[in-house]
Amino acid sequence: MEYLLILLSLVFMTSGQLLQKLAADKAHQLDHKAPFVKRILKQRETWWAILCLGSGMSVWLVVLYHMEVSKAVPFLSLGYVLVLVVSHYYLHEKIRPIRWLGVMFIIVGTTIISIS
Amino acid sequence: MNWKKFPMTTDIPAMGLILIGGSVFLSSIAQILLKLAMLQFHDMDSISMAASWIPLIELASGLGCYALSMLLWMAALSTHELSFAYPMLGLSYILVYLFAVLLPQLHETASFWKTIGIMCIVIGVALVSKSNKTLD
Repeated sequence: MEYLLILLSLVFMTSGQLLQKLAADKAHQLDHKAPFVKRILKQRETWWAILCLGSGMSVWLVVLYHMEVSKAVPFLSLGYVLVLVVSHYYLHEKIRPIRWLGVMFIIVGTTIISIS
Repeated sequence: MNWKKFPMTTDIPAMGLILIGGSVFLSSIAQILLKLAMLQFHDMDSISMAASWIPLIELASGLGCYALSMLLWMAALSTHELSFAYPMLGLSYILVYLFAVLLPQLHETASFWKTIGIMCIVIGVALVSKSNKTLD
């Protein structure tokens, strides 16, 4: 079922973003004497992020193989919602309504583009 | 400016937005490069693929751009919320659309609805960019 694959891809991509954020936060708190690139590469989260993003993109390619692009891409925009939810509940970021509204616009916009 | 150290958001004001913008720009370039490479590979068998160096260069530089964009992205994430930065990736839809329309090899045409969709994304990103509770 392609929809399960889409969900899997979204989970991978969202996890990848979350891991990037965690790695960036950790690197930021480390001693700034070391160059940023080295600090980032030292974090485990960075490598897990690369793995997740790579897997997510691979699964997405499989989805595109079986499904029309214009049908699949609107689901990708659900990723914006997933990231917001994860940021709120896991990262404890305070999200004002205007941010939700902005994301809604982005989702509408990407859906219009892909089905036109 | 000390170029050994990556300029961080504490060094230059609005650095976070510059990093996000740079990351979005690079990832859009990467997507176009990969698309171009795929178009040229599409009708080839594996022997011709290995021998055609232009698409291979496009592929390599596309992946390189992705890697660089990821680096800028993580630098931006170190001082910005994920829920603030991530919606900005919507801007890459706009850039990819512009590149695709301007490059004849990609055979994509502008259309009324695509433009409407782009405008929605612009509004959405503008709203998110205003949703920062700290003045950064």
